[in-house]
Amino acid sequence: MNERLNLSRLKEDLMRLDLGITMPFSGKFLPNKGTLCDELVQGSTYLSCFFVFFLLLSFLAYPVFGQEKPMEAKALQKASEKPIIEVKLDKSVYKGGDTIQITGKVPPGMKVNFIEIASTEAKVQVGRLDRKEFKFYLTKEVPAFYTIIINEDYVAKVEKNGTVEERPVKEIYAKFKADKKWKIGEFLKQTNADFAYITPPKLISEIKVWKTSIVRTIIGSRGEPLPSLTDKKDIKKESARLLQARMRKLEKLFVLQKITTNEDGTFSVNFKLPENAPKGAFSVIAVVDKEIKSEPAKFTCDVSFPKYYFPVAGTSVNLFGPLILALAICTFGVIMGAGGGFILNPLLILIYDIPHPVVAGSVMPSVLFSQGAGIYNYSKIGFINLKLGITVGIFMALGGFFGPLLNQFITLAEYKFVFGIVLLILAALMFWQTTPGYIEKSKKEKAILEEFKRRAAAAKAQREQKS
Amino acid sequence: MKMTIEFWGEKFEANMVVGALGGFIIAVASSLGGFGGGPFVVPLMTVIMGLPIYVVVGSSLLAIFFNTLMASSRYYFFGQTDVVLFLIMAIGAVSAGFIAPRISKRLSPIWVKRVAVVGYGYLGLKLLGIVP
Repeated sequence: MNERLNLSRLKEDLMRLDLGITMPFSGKFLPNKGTLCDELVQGSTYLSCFFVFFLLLSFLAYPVFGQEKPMEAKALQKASEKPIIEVKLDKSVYKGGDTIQITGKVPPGMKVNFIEIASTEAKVQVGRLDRKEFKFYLTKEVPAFYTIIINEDYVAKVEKNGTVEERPVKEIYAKFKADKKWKIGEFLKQTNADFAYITPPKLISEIKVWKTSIVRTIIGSRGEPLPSLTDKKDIKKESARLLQARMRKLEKLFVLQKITTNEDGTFSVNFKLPENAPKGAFSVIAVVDKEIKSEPAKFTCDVSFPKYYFPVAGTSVNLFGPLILALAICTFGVIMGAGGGFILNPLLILIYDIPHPVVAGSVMPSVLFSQGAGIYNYSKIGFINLKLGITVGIFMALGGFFGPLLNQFITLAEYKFVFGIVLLILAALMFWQTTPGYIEKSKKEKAILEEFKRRAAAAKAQREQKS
Repeated sequence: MKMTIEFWGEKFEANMVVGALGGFIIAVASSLGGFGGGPFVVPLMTVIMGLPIYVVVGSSLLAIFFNTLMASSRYYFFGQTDVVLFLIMAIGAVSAGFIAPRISKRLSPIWVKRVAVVGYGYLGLKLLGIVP
């Protein structure tokens, strides 16, 4: 009722207001019409009415315009009120293996939940195939080193069907770590670590894309080029997947660690820079939540002789390590009639943590040299049959044409089991061929063994004669 | 299709259909794992084709050489080769190619086979995920 009364009163008021303004134009205030003077008087009245109306408007408008300035100031004040997060490092230059002391301060009541550490200078090339859409993604700007430290006490909040679900980050981390087919996008979302995924999208300006197919990969083509990804949202999504393709394991990209934030807002955390960390500039960003982040604190990683930064591998390794390893393993490999790559590969990954695709791509041409030198030296002592080697070699070359292409596009996890079993059976059979029982039965093997013994005895006698 | 292979006065008959087909399958499979193919070629030639280990070590190296050459160029084309890392390891690899045949010559064929068994046994366990 009251509302209705008020409405009718408002209507009346508006009518009055309308009358007040329109009355001069309707001529209700001007009863005498017809003369020029009258018209002039009428015109001046109109003008004066306009003037008054304009004045009134400006007067009414003034407070509105006047209010805008304080509002702007308020907004600026709000921006400046955004909590400031301080981050400090104990040194500005580190070496691989050093411990970085990260300290800082957040406003009391807040907690640092994530710390992002990324190399901003050393970047590497990474490629990845999306098996669902059959698209190949590639960029040369992936940070060579990337880690997000997640506070182990953090409880992640994820919105699901309109409700906020809370889960301890420890639980999520354990679940993803156990899953060999883990997906980085899901992990970032579920742990809220995407709040701290800041630097890669900034560093990467474009990700090239190709539409490919199995047939194209066989003929040695990546496929048809598609428009590159340049939108920051797309780059954020895809760059994370590329980082996963490079690092593979969850624990190499995400570290669960205690980040202690005291009551006064000071926090501290220690982080051990890996031995193989790349050289150049790094950034450290402390993150409270989606909105509250620190400015990057910067440091440099120094790499000096005998360590060397391998630019494609994106890691720093002692120069003599791979040299000695290659010498020892390839010797072992050539004795058994292989190059040694199958042992060198896992050792380089295990000892130096060099990414798998680079290890495969660098070991293969190295092994080529051990094989070449081995063939030359075996041919000198007659331990080779050229016809046999070349015939099997031609068919292997045909098969080898497909292999490296498929290596980019297929993971062999499921088939490795079969190969492993087959190889173990073959190894067992080979061992059986060295047992006295087998040699007794095989006349030819026995003859060769006896010939070896005869030659060894002759060589020994010759040496003794010389001495 | 048989090939006669003579070594130290003994004649061996090698079934080349098995050799060619085996080589093709091994090449596809092994390059997927990032190794040259040798680990499967040696058992193929010794266990399946019944050839003496002394001939097999050199012939196997020759057989996998083409495959390694092609795979290396492909890896290089895909930008996976770190040239510095490769050059450093190549120095060790060439030296190994000179040292190993000198050791093989002094080792009894039984022990050359046993060394191979250790290497292939390791790879088998690795593929099964038992060792790193």
